[in-house]
Amino acid sequence: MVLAKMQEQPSLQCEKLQPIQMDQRRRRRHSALITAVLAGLFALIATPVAQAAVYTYANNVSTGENVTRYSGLRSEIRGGDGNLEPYSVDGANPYVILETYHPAPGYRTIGFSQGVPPVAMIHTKATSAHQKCRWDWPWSSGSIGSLKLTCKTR
Amino acid sequence: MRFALLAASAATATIVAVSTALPAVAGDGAQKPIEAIVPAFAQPQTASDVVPERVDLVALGGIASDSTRFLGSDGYAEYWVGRGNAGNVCLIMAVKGEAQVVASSCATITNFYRQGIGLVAGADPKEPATSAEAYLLPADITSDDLGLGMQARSSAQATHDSLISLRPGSNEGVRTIERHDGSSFRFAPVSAALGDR
Repeated sequence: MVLAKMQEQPSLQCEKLQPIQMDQRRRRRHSALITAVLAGLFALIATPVAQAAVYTYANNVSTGENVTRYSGLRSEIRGGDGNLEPYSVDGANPYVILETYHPAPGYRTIGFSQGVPPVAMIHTKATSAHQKCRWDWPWSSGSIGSLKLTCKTR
Repeated sequence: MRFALLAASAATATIVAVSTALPAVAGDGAQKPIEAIVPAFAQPQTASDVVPERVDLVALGGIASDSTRFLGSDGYAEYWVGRGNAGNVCLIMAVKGEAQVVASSCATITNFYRQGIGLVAGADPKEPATSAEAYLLPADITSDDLGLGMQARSSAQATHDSLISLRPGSNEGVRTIERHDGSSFRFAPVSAALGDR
């Protein structure tokens, strides 16, 4: 009789614990699901924000010498970079000129960088600013045609 | 699957090895290790070679943080050299001033051997006091070879002779130097032709 009671006890315990464990499992599943949904939502929001940090306003665009490419108004600019398809004559290269600025009236340069491409720069955060870039071939007065220019803001 | 992983790892290792461990100049008949062209890389990186935290090396051309070497400073900027994407040599310039402009220009090792790297950057091209202009030269080219007048040079406290800093608008001309190995070096100053256009 005693043995029979002892054998019954575990099963009784199981019957008592099962609903609690199931509850806990459900809760865990719910919290895992909520975490997954939140992570997904964060990824959906964060990815476009991260992508927006780099804005390409000239994407390998055939561009004549000193023809300027403009970013237009950007809510925030922290720098940028400019690159040009390779071109060289007797060791001389074109320059790329990159400039972040506030337009007229009151035209003001925030930062600029000029050199043989690729050229990059970073500067303090500029809000409601513009950026422009161009390339220059200062080694002869004649035209060397168009070159493919890429310019990005950060 | 395992073979594909092994093949991918081997390919990656080869690319890394080619871009970092074998930085020899293929052009102009010269086969020199990068340390012979940029002596700063011959020394291990020290704390003073590390760029300030605000300098985003990824944005400046994917420059490896452990590759930077301090070249010197003057009243207008601080200068470093580093290794960028595909093992390029990069000149980094942090211009002093409110705008905290940091700029870089990178070149393949072959192009660097032929012409060095020149860079002009700053807060306002119309005010030279807010800008800096610098050149990183291969080890075998000196400012004496270029015949640069001392008046044109700023009072740089360079730790490496291969760095020349000029004042923007110094209007130095193009110079070509013939090397003993038959190749030539072309010094082409960056003109600060900026403005409202």
